[in-house]
Amino acid sequence: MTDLMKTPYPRFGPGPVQGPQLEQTFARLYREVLARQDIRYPNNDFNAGLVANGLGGITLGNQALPLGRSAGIPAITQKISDQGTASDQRFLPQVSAGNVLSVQSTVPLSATADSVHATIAIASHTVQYGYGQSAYNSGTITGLPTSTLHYVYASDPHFLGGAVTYLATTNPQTVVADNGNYYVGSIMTPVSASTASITGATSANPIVFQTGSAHGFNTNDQVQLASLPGDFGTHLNGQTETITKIDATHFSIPVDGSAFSAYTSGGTATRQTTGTSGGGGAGGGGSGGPIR
Amino acid sequence: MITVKRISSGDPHTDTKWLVLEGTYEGVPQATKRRTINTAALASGHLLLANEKAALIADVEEYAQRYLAVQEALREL
Repeated sequence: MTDLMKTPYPRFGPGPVQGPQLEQTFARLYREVLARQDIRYPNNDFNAGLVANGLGGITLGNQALPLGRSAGIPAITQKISDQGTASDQRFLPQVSAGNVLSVQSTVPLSATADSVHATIAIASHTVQYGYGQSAYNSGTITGLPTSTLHYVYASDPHFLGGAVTYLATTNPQTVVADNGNYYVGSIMTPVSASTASITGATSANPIVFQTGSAHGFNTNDQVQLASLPGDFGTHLNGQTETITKIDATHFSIPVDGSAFSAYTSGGTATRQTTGTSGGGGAGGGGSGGPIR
Repeated sequence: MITVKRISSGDPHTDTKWLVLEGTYEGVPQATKRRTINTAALASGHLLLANEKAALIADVEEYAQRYLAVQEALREL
Protein backbone atom coordinates (compact mmCIF):
# COMPACT_ATOMS: atom_id res chain seq x y z
CA MET A 1 0.00 0.00 0.00
CA THR A 2 1.31 3.43 -0.90
CA ASP A 3 2.18 5.61 2.06
CA LEU A 4 2.48 9.23 0.97
CA MET A 5 4.26 10.16 4.19
CA LYS A 6 7.01 7.74 3.30
CA THR A 7 7.11 8.28 -0.47
CA PRO A 8 10.59 9.64 -1.35
CA TYR A 9 10.71 13.07 -2.93
CA PRO A 10 11.69 13.37 -6.61
CA ARG A 11 15.41 14.04 -6.84
CA PHE A 12 17.00 16.38 -9.39
CA GLY A 13 20.62 16.97 -10.11
CA PRO A 14 22.21 20.42 -9.74
CA GLY A 15 21.54 22.99 -12.46
CA PRO A 16 18.41 23.78 -14.47
CA VAL A 17 15.68 21.17 -14.69
CA GLN A 18 14.62 20.18 -18.19
CA GLY A 19 10.90 20.15 -19.10
CA PRO A 20 10.76 16.46 -20.15
CA GLN A 21 12.54 15.45 -16.97
CA LEU A 22 9.98 17.37 -14.90
CA GLU A 23 7.13 15.91 -16.94
CA GLN A 24 8.43 12.40 -16.36
CA THR A 25 8.63 13.02 -12.64
CA PHE A 26 5.08 14.34 -12.46
CA ALA A 27 3.83 11.46 -14.59
CA ARG A 28 5.33 8.97 -12.13
CA LEU A 29 3.88 10.95 -9.23
CA TYR A 30 0.38 10.92 -10.73
CA ARG A 31 0.30 7.40 -12.13
CA GLU A 32 2.22 5.47 -9.51
CA VAL A 33 1.51 7.37 -6.31
CA LEU A 34 -1.57 9.62 -6.40
CA ALA A 35 -3.64 7.29 -8.61
CA ARG A 36 -3.38 4.56 -5.96
CA GLN A 37 -5.24 6.88 -3.58
CA ASP A 38 -8.05 7.43 -6.12
CA ILE A 39 -10.91 5.00 -5.54
CA ARG A 40 -11.96 5.32 -9.18
CA TYR A 41 -8.75 3.56 -10.17
CA PRO A 42 -9.53 -0.21 -10.09
CA ASN A 43 -6.17 -1.10 -8.56
CA ASN A 44 -6.28 1.56 -5.88
CA ASP A 45 -4.87 0.73 -2.47
CA PHE A 46 -8.34 0.42 -0.88
CA ASN A 47 -10.15 -1.57 -3.56
CA ALA A 48 -10.80 -4.51 -1.22
CA GLY A 49 -12.97 -2.29 0.93
CA LEU A 50 -13.90 0.77 -1.12
CA VAL A 51 -14.54 1.26 -4.84
CA ALA A 52 -16.34 3.91 -6.85
CA ASN A 53 -19.52 2.54 -8.39
CA GLY A 54 -19.70 4.88 -11.39
CA LEU A 55 -22.92 6.43 -10.10
CA GLY A 56 -21.21 9.14 -8.15
CA GLY A 57 -21.11 6.93 -5.08
CA ILE A 58 -19.05 4.18 -3.57
CA THR A 59 -19.43 0.46 -2.95
CA LEU A 60 -18.10 -1.20 0.19
CA GLY A 61 -16.04 -4.34 -0.36
CA ASN A 62 -15.54 -7.35 1.93
CA GLN A 63 -12.61 -5.66 3.66
CA ALA A 64 -14.79 -2.78 4.86
CA LEU A 65 -14.79 -3.94 8.47
CA PRO A 66 -16.72 -2.31 11.31
CA LEU A 67 -14.36 -1.43 14.16
CA GLY A 68 -13.56 -4.49 16.22
CA ARG A 69 -15.32 -6.92 13.88
CA SER A 70 -13.96 -9.62 11.59
CA ALA A 71 -16.88 -9.85 9.15
CA GLY A 72 -17.17 -7.30 6.35
CA ILE A 73 -20.09 -4.92 6.09
CA PRO A 74 -21.38 -6.56 2.87
CA ALA A 75 -21.50 -9.97 4.60
CA ILE A 76 -23.32 -8.53 7.58
CA THR A 77 -25.80 -6.43 5.64
CA GLN A 78 -26.50 -9.33 3.29
CA LYS A 79 -28.72 -10.65 6.08
CA ILE A 80 -30.93 -7.58 5.92
CA SER A 81 -33.23 -6.95 2.98
CA ASP A 82 -33.60 -3.56 1.28
CA GLN A 83 -36.81 -3.22 3.29
CA GLY A 84 -34.88 -3.65 6.55
CA THR A 85 -36.24 -7.09 7.43
CA ALA A 86 -33.99 -10.01 8.41
CA SER A 87 -33.34 -12.20 5.38
CA ASP A 88 -33.66 -15.42 7.47
CA GLN A 89 -33.86 -16.63 11.06
CA ARG A 90 -30.11 -17.19 11.34
CA PHE A 91 -29.79 -13.44 11.67
CA LEU A 92 -31.71 -13.73 14.92
CA PRO A 93 -30.14 -15.15 18.08
CA GLN A 94 -30.84 -18.88 18.29
CA VAL A 95 -32.81 -18.37 21.49
CA SER A 96 -35.22 -16.11 19.59
CA ALA A 97 -35.64 -18.40 16.62
CA GLY A 98 -35.14 -22.03 17.63
CA ASN A 99 -38.46 -23.75 18.24
CA VAL A 100 -40.12 -20.34 18.26
CA LEU A 101 -40.29 -19.29 14.62
CA SER A 102 -39.62 -22.84 13.46
CA VAL A 103 -41.24 -26.27 13.56
CA GLN A 104 -39.78 -29.50 14.88
CA SER A 105 -40.21 -32.65 12.80
CA THR A 106 -41.52 -34.59 15.79
CA VAL A 107 -42.07 -34.24 19.51
CA PRO A 108 -38.57 -35.29 20.48
CA LEU A 109 -38.89 -35.64 24.26
CA SER A 110 -39.84 -38.67 26.30
CA ALA A 111 -39.05 -39.62 29.88
CA THR A 112 -38.74 -42.68 32.09
CA ALA A 113 -37.96 -43.20 35.76
CA ASP A 114 -36.65 -45.85 38.08
CA SER A 115 -37.08 -45.86 41.81
CA VAL A 116 -34.80 -42.86 42.32
CA HIS A 117 -34.03 -40.90 39.16
CA ALA A 118 -35.58 -39.98 35.85
CA THR A 119 -34.09 -40.04 32.36
CA ILE A 120 -35.11 -37.83 29.45
CA ALA A 121 -34.53 -39.16 25.94
CA ILE A 122 -34.28 -36.73 23.05
CA ALA A 123 -35.04 -38.33 19.69
CA SER A 124 -33.17 -37.28 16.58
CA HIS A 125 -35.19 -34.59 14.84
CA THR A 126 -35.00 -31.71 12.44
CA VAL A 127 -36.06 -28.11 12.90
CA GLN A 128 -37.52 -26.39 9.86
CA TYR A 129 -36.66 -22.76 9.24
CA GLY A 130 -37.38 -20.47 6.32
CA TYR A 131 -33.90 -20.99 4.91
CA GLY A 132 -33.77 -24.76 5.41
CA GLN A 133 -33.37 -27.32 8.17
CA SER A 134 -31.14 -28.02 11.14
CA ALA A 135 -30.88 -31.75 11.94
CA TYR A 136 -30.15 -32.75 15.53
CA ASN A 137 -28.83 -36.14 16.65
CA SER A 138 -30.51 -37.97 19.49
CA GLY A 139 -29.32 -37.67 23.07
CA THR A 140 -30.02 -38.55 26.68
CA ILE A 141 -30.06 -36.72 30.01
CA THR A 142 -30.00 -38.90 33.08
CA GLY A 143 -29.84 -38.68 36.86
CA LEU A 144 -32.72 -36.18 36.98
CA PRO A 145 -35.30 -35.71 39.75
CA THR A 146 -38.64 -37.46 39.25
CA SER A 147 -42.04 -35.73 39.09
CA THR A 148 -40.44 -32.49 37.98
CA LEU A 149 -41.08 -30.21 35.03
CA HIS A 150 -37.84 -29.89 33.05
CA TYR A 151 -36.95 -27.51 30.24
CA VAL A 152 -34.56 -29.10 27.75
CA TYR A 153 -32.14 -27.07 25.66
CA ALA A 154 -28.84 -27.22 23.81
CA SER A 155 -26.26 -24.66 22.85
CA ASP A 156 -26.26 -24.21 19.06
CA PRO A 157 -25.64 -20.53 18.31
CA HIS A 158 -24.92 -21.08 14.63
CA PHE A 159 -27.86 -23.37 13.79
CA LEU A 160 -25.50 -26.19 12.87
CA GLY A 161 -27.42 -29.11 14.44
CA GLY A 162 -25.64 -32.46 14.69
CA ALA A 163 -24.48 -34.00 17.96
CA VAL A 164 -25.25 -31.36 20.58
CA THR A 165 -25.14 -31.49 24.37
CA TYR A 166 -28.67 -31.53 25.72
CA LEU A 167 -29.16 -30.02 29.16
CA ALA A 168 -32.17 -29.84 31.44
CA THR A 169 -33.21 -27.18 33.89
CA THR A 170 -36.19 -26.56 36.12
CA ASN A 171 -35.82 -22.82 35.64
CA PRO A 172 -37.04 -21.62 32.22
CA GLN A 173 -35.03 -18.43 32.59
CA THR A 174 -31.87 -20.50 32.29
CA VAL A 175 -32.86 -21.42 28.74
CA VAL A 176 -33.26 -17.85 27.57
CA ALA A 177 -30.22 -16.56 29.47
CA ASP A 178 -27.93 -17.37 26.54
CA ASN A 179 -28.59 -16.13 23.01
CA GLY A 180 -27.11 -19.32 21.54
CA ASN A 181 -29.53 -21.73 23.20
CA TYR A 182 -31.89 -23.89 21.18
CA TYR A 183 -34.99 -24.66 23.25
CA VAL A 184 -36.03 -28.26 22.60
CA GLY A 185 -39.13 -28.38 24.78
CA SER A 186 -40.43 -29.14 28.24
CA ILE A 187 -41.43 -32.41 29.85
CA MET A 188 -42.64 -33.60 33.23
CA THR A 189 -40.49 -36.49 34.40
CA PRO A 190 -42.49 -39.50 35.63
CA VAL A 191 -43.02 -40.32 39.26
CA SER A 192 -40.53 -42.74 40.75
CA ALA A 193 -41.52 -46.33 40.26
CA SER A 194 -42.86 -47.28 43.68
CA THR A 195 -44.24 -50.68 44.54
CA ALA A 196 -46.05 -51.57 47.76
CA SER A 197 -46.76 -55.12 48.98
CA ILE A 198 -50.40 -55.76 49.77
CA THR A 199 -51.16 -57.63 52.98
CA GLY A 200 -54.91 -57.18 53.26
CA ALA A 201 -58.05 -56.28 51.28
CA THR A 202 -61.72 -55.88 52.18
CA SER A 203 -64.50 -57.54 50.23
CA ALA A 204 -66.48 -54.31 50.32
CA ASN A 205 -67.49 -51.26 48.30
CA PRO A 206 -65.09 -49.59 47.85
CA ILE A 207 -62.28 -52.08 48.28
CA VAL A 208 -59.74 -51.01 50.90
CA PHE A 209 -56.21 -52.37 50.62
CA GLN A 210 -53.70 -52.64 53.42
CA THR A 211 -49.95 -52.52 52.69
CA GLY A 212 -47.13 -54.13 54.65
CA SER A 213 -45.30 -50.82 55.01
CA ALA A 214 -45.99 -47.18 54.20
CA HIS A 215 -47.12 -47.10 50.58
CA GLY A 216 -46.22 -43.46 49.90
CA PHE A 217 -49.20 -43.01 47.56
CA ASN A 218 -51.48 -39.99 47.50
CA THR A 219 -55.13 -39.55 46.57
CA ASN A 220 -55.59 -39.56 42.77
CA ASP A 221 -52.36 -41.48 42.17
CA GLN A 222 -52.82 -44.28 39.68
CA VAL A 223 -51.51 -47.67 40.72
CA GLN A 224 -51.30 -50.93 38.81
CA LEU A 225 -52.37 -54.02 40.73
CA ALA A 226 -50.71 -57.42 40.27
CA SER A 227 -50.41 -60.89 41.81
CA LEU A 228 -53.60 -60.55 43.85
CA PRO A 229 -55.27 -63.82 44.89
CA GLY A 230 -58.74 -65.21 44.15
CA ASP A 231 -61.52 -62.94 42.97
CA PHE A 232 -59.34 -59.90 43.58
CA GLY A 233 -56.79 -61.23 41.11
CA THR A 234 -59.39 -62.28 38.55
CA HIS A 235 -60.90 -58.81 38.41
CA LEU A 236 -57.99 -56.52 39.23
CA ASN A 237 -54.62 -58.00 38.23
CA GLY A 238 -53.11 -55.84 35.52
CA GLN A 239 -55.67 -53.09 36.07
CA THR A 240 -54.67 -49.50 36.81
CA GLU A 241 -56.89 -47.81 39.36
CA THR A 242 -57.10 -44.30 40.80
CA ILE A 243 -56.72 -44.50 44.55
CA THR A 244 -57.92 -42.59 47.59
CA LYS A 245 -55.41 -42.46 50.41
CA ILE A 246 -56.85 -43.42 53.80
CA ASP A 247 -53.65 -43.45 55.83
CA ALA A 248 -49.98 -44.40 55.45
CA THR A 249 -50.76 -48.11 55.02
CA HIS A 250 -54.32 -48.09 53.61
CA PHE A 251 -55.87 -46.90 50.36
CA SER A 252 -59.11 -47.60 48.53
CA ILE A 253 -60.07 -48.03 44.90
CA PRO A 254 -63.52 -47.25 43.39
CA VAL A 255 -64.43 -50.88 42.77
CA ASP A 256 -67.26 -52.84 44.40
CA GLY A 257 -65.69 -55.98 45.86
CA SER A 258 -68.55 -56.95 48.11
CA ALA A 259 -69.13 -60.16 46.14
CA PHE A 260 -65.45 -61.14 46.15
CA SER A 261 -64.31 -64.13 48.16
CA ALA A 262 -62.19 -63.22 51.18
CA TYR A 263 -58.66 -62.01 50.50
CA THR A 264 -55.97 -64.53 51.43
CA SER A 265 -52.46 -63.22 50.82
CA GLY A 266 -50.14 -61.63 48.24
CA GLY A 267 -50.31 -58.87 45.69
CA THR A 268 -48.57 -55.63 44.77
CA ALA A 269 -49.55 -52.09 43.85
CA THR A 270 -47.16 -50.08 41.65
CA ARG A 271 -47.63 -46.37 41.14
CA GLN A 272 -47.87 -45.36 37.50
CA THR A 273 -48.64 -41.65 37.71
CA THR A 274 -49.33 -39.14 40.40
CA GLY A 275 -52.52 -37.16 40.63
CA THR A 276 -50.58 -33.94 40.25
CA SER A 277 -48.28 -34.90 37.38
CA GLY A 278 -50.66 -33.60 34.70
CA GLY A 279 -49.74 -34.50 31.16
CA GLY A 280 -46.37 -35.94 32.09
CA GLY A 281 -46.04 -39.37 33.58
CA ALA A 282 -44.33 -42.39 32.17
CA GLY A 283 -43.53 -41.92 28.54
CA GLY A 284 -45.32 -38.62 28.50
CA GLY A 285 -44.65 -36.51 25.46
CA GLY A 286 -42.72 -33.30 25.53
CA SER A 287 -44.13 -30.04 24.40
CA GLY A 288 -42.56 -27.72 21.93
CA GLY A 289 -43.38 -24.12 21.26
CA PRO A 290 -42.43 -21.09 23.29
CA ILE A 291 -41.40 -21.36 26.90
CA ARG A 292 -44.26 -20.59 29.23
CA MET B 1 -15.93 -49.40 16.23
CA ILE B 2 -17.45 -47.18 18.91
CA THR B 3 -15.38 -44.65 20.80
CA VAL B 4 -16.48 -42.73 23.87
CA LYS B 5 -14.97 -39.45 24.99
CA ARG B 6 -15.81 -36.74 27.47
CA ILE B 7 -17.16 -33.46 26.11
CA SER B 8 -16.44 -30.26 27.99
CA SER B 9 -18.80 -27.33 27.67
CA GLY B 10 -16.00 -24.89 28.36
CA ASP B 11 -17.97 -23.57 31.32
CA PRO B 12 -16.60 -24.83 34.67
CA HIS B 13 -19.98 -24.42 36.36
CA THR B 14 -21.73 -26.56 33.74
CA ASP B 15 -18.94 -29.13 33.74
CA THR B 16 -19.25 -29.45 37.50
CA LYS B 17 -22.97 -30.13 37.30
CA TRP B 18 -23.04 -32.31 34.19
CA LEU B 19 -20.75 -35.02 32.83
CA VAL B 20 -21.20 -35.29 29.07
CA LEU B 21 -20.07 -38.42 27.22
CA GLU B 22 -20.11 -38.64 23.44
CA GLY B 23 -20.26 -41.94 21.63
CA THR B 24 -19.27 -42.12 17.97
CA TYR B 25 -19.54 -44.97 15.51
CA GLU B 26 -16.81 -44.84 12.90
CA GLY B 27 -18.22 -43.97 9.50
CA VAL B 28 -21.72 -43.15 10.75
CA PRO B 29 -21.77 -39.55 12.00
CA GLN B 30 -25.56 -39.69 12.26
CA ALA B 31 -25.15 -42.16 15.14
CA THR B 32 -23.02 -39.82 17.21
CA LYS B 33 -24.87 -39.38 20.47
CA ARG B 34 -24.27 -37.53 23.72
CA ARG B 35 -25.33 -38.67 27.17
CA THR B 36 -25.62 -35.92 29.76
CA ILE B 37 -25.23 -37.29 33.29
CA ASN B 38 -26.12 -35.42 36.46
CA THR B 39 -22.91 -35.62 38.49
CA ALA B 40 -24.93 -35.49 41.72
CA ALA B 41 -26.53 -38.79 40.76
CA LEU B 42 -23.07 -40.26 40.15
CA ALA B 43 -21.83 -38.95 43.48
CA SER B 44 -24.83 -40.42 45.30
CA GLY B 45 -23.88 -43.82 43.94
CA HIS B 46 -27.25 -44.43 42.32
CA LEU B 47 -25.76 -44.07 38.85
CA LEU B 48 -22.50 -45.78 37.96
CA LEU B 49 -20.21 -44.34 35.34
CA ALA B 50 -19.51 -47.76 33.88
CA ASN B 51 -23.24 -48.40 33.45
CA GLU B 52 -23.77 -44.99 31.84
CA LYS B 53 -20.95 -45.60 29.42
CA ALA B 54 -22.33 -49.02 28.56
CA ALA B 55 -25.80 -47.54 27.99
CA LEU B 56 -24.36 -44.92 25.64
CA ILE B 57 -22.44 -47.54 23.67
CA ALA B 58 -25.59 -49.66 23.39
CA ASP B 59 -27.59 -46.66 22.14
CA VAL B 60 -24.99 -45.74 19.54
CA GLU B 61 -24.62 -49.34 18.41
CA GLU B 62 -28.39 -49.78 18.05
CA TYR B 63 -28.82 -46.55 16.08
CA ALA B 64 -25.83 -47.24 13.84
CA GLN B 65 -26.99 -50.77 13.04
CA ARG B 66 -30.46 -49.52 12.14
CA TYR B 67 -28.98 -46.76 10.00
CA LEU B 68 -26.62 -49.16 8.21
CA ALA B 69 -29.47 -51.61 7.62
CA VAL B 70 -31.53 -48.88 5.98
CA GLN B 71 -28.59 -47.88 3.80
CA GLU B 72 -28.10 -51.50 2.77
CA ALA B 73 -31.77 -51.83 1.93
CA LEU B 74 -31.64 -48.65 -0.16
CA ARG B 75 -28.70 -50.00 -2.14
CA GLU B 76 -30.75 -53.03 -3.09
CA LEU B 77 -33.60 -50.94 -4.50
